[in-house]
Amino acid sequence: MGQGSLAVVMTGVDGDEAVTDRISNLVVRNSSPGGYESVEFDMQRRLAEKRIPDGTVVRVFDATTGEQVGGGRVIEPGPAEDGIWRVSCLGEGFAALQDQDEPYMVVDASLQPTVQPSVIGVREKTIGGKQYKMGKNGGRASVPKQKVITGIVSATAKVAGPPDGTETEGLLFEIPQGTSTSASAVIAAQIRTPYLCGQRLGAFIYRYVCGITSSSYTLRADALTFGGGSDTVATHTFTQSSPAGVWKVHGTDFDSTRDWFQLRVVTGAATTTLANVWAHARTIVLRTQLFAADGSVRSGASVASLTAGVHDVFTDLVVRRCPSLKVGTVTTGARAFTQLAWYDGATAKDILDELCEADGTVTYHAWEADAAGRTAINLDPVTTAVRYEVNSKDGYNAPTSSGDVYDRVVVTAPDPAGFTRRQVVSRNTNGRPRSKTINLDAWPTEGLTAVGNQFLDKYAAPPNGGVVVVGERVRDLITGRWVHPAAIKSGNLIRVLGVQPNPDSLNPDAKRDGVTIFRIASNTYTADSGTATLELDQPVLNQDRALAALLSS
Amino acid sequence: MSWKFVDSISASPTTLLDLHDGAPFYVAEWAAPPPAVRGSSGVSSDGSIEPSTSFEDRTLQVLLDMQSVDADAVAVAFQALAKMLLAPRWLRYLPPTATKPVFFRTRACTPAEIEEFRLIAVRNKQVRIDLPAEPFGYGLAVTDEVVVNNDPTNATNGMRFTIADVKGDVPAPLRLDLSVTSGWLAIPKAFMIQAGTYGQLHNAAAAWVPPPAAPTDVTTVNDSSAIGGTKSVLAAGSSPAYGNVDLTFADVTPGDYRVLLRFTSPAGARRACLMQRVGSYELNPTGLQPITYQSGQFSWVDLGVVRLPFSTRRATEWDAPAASSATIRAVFERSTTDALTIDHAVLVPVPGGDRSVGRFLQASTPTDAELSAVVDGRSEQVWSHISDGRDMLWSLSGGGFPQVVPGVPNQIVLAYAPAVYNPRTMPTTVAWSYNPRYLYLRGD
Repeated sequence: MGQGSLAVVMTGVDGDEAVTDRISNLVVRNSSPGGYESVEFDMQRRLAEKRIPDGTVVRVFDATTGEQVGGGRVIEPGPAEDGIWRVSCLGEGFAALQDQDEPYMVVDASLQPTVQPSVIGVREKTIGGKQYKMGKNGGRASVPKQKVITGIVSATAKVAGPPDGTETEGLLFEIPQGTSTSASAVIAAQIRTPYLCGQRLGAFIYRYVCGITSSSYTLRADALTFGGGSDTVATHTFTQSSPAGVWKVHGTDFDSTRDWFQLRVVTGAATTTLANVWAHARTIVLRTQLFAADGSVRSGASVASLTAGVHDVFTDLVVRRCPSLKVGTVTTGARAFTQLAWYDGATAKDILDELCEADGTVTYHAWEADAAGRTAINLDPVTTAVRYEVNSKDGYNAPTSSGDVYDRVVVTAPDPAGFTRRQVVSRNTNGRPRSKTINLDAWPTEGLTAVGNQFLDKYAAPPNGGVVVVGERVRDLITGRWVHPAAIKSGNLIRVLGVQPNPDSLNPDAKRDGVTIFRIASNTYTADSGTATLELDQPVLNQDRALAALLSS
Repeated sequence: MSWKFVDSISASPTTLLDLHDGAPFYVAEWAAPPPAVRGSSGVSSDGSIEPSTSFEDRTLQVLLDMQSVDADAVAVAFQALAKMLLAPRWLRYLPPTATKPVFFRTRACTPAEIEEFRLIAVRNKQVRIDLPAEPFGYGLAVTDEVVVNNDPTNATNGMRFTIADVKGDVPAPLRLDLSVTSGWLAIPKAFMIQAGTYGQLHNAAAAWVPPPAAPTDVTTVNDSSAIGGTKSVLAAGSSPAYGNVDLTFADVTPGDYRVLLRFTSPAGARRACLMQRVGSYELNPTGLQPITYQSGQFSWVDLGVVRLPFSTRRATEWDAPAASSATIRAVFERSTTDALTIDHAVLVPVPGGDRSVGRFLQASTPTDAELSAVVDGRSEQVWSHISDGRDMLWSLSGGGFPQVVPGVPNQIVLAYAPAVYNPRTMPTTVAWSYNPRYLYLRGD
């Protein structure tokens, strides 16, 4: 039989159809990150037959073992006059992660409040009293004393430092001295970002300090639902000490349907303000509710943290945005992110690519679907053990470029106090360093040296944008089996034998040494030639470019 | 000797047009050279890579003589011939003095050359046709029936049967009609069929390894429904959290195998995986995966494909590694409420890494199938004829349809996993058939 002992099954509305004998030019591709990327083939099909229905899924199997080696959903069935349909399928992981492009946030520590000026009171002046008037007859007159309003005082909260001179940025609520305030006047600031993203408030924390200690004025924190109810979560009387922040979580401290946070200062009884009536709220951090792998909403306590990792975002995005995927195994990421918000909209793939790149220890793949038709997507660790061994006899080319090799890096970031700090990490030994600068927007929790080392680990050896061709089964060192070339999974390390080694190829550490051990970026198997072409250490196309590449080939 | 267009492959088909009966056709010349093989060129290595054997179409070269006094009769006959040629047809060819015919599936074409001779008083037309046809000629179906049971240790058709003396020149797709008698309620809802020329079933009794901290958690119980007569029960508990089964298979020919283990437990989610032991170091490539099983009844649980013995070298055209014993460990997650019971493990060969021919198919159906199912390798469909009259399709969970290879004994393994009703004695009647496929016009 043809197709190199692969079998192809198309599953549509009417059930499964084995199409192996009716197709030609089969190409199966998987890549990392992502998993199964595409399946393409030409199919003999009369023009009069009905269109391939939406939602049709294609699976490719190794016919001798029954295991799946490729698959995807049909995105492009192109009927042609000669009766040969060109069918292109995009892997479920790739497709599902790019289906929705919407705003998203997990943890927001940047201040973007909505503030409106409110009238807080009035300025008054007392006039009247004895007055002297010089008239023809002489004499005196007096006007009764009274208070008149000389002006209206409005106040807004604003993003500023506190008036006591410290440089901490936060939300300042201030009432000028001498203002006559009515009872229960309010200055409010709202942060509506969870509502903007269509998500719900999970937890929040803040600290505050005030200019005076007085029970006449209170600072209150509320959680509200847009167009609905609200909960007053905390009420603090003004105090000059700066109490520690306390996490308030959904379910326990406020209702789980809230999507918007508000801080307000409320006056007590009507009075005229003295000096230093201000409150400054700082380190305001909002967390949204996140889903757990089983689809339930995680408890408030579990999201009450200043940072989130890739694994938290991964599980939530898959549950929230990808109904055709389910969460598989999740590896905990290494990096703790303090700001994760995309208010202009982002696809799940954009978000995960960005976070996996920043984290550096995890990546994601989606392979087979289960019996119910849902594909498990895993957050896998970036492996350090060599999995496959091939030799180069079927073809190997490896143009090297020293353009991306650096042995010195300068890392800058603002420290918590706001001043920019700099750290240099250098591994240069020959006196001619090549360096790059990394400017971070926020202080990394692991420190600047660790960020520098992470960068140099990746760029110290030339990345190999090469290609190796595999024509027969290869050894899988982890399962001890000989696998079909189409079954080689991207994302793993491969050792290519028969390549001239450099001195440091004797390094026992199986990291990317750029010489004989490579990471497989993608695997394209062509059934006509029976060979798999492995791209090594190269970045992967996103969906638009993948589609363009599929359609133009 | 005869050439006829017929309506089907059978011993007595209906003739649509006879090409050699003198009314008015005679076959003057005939050639049916075997089709060409497609290969592919290698890349930087010497020689070519043979990923798959695929054949070009065959071209049947026919020269027909049409002779008759009546010119109209010749014209009418020629029209009939043209109609036959315009659609795919079965052409039945009986070689001279042979008793068994061979059938070609022809494709649409038109005559290449038509020559007219005007002889005195007779019309003579010669028609040369280069008739394209499918690469292989088909022989009459070879069929037989065998009863397979569910006990792999049974020497007679235990979970497998053999088809020997396969006719033809190239592998032929196999059709299997499976049926169970009404006493067994229904054909189980999922099965695997492995057809191959390499490898045997290997059996091992399965027993839990008693945990050192609580050896009494494992008991051996007599049970007539268990293969081997006894089953091993691991009591409910959580300390230790996993139960281990060490399976030792004797005389395993190195290759890839699918490990099936007979297991039962009251209903609930269960997870298991296989671990290879190399010295004391255990490799667990997949992690615990959910397993599908039939609660309350023994059924085969599919634990996945491994190479046994672990990491052995491949067989090549030069030599093959020797058989030896192989050990593998299965790990199950324990339940705090339910006991886990096992009795037997079997290895089903899935020739992947070694130079061999085989196919492994998994099919399942979400509804209760009736008492029969058909696995048709020619149309690549699996279906059951159900009570409301439909031939309802099964889902294809993976793999390729079975085929038989001529010249060597073929072993077909039938495993139900997981199942509705999967007792070891359940007999399945398998009526198999295949049409031999010929490159050359009869070997036999």
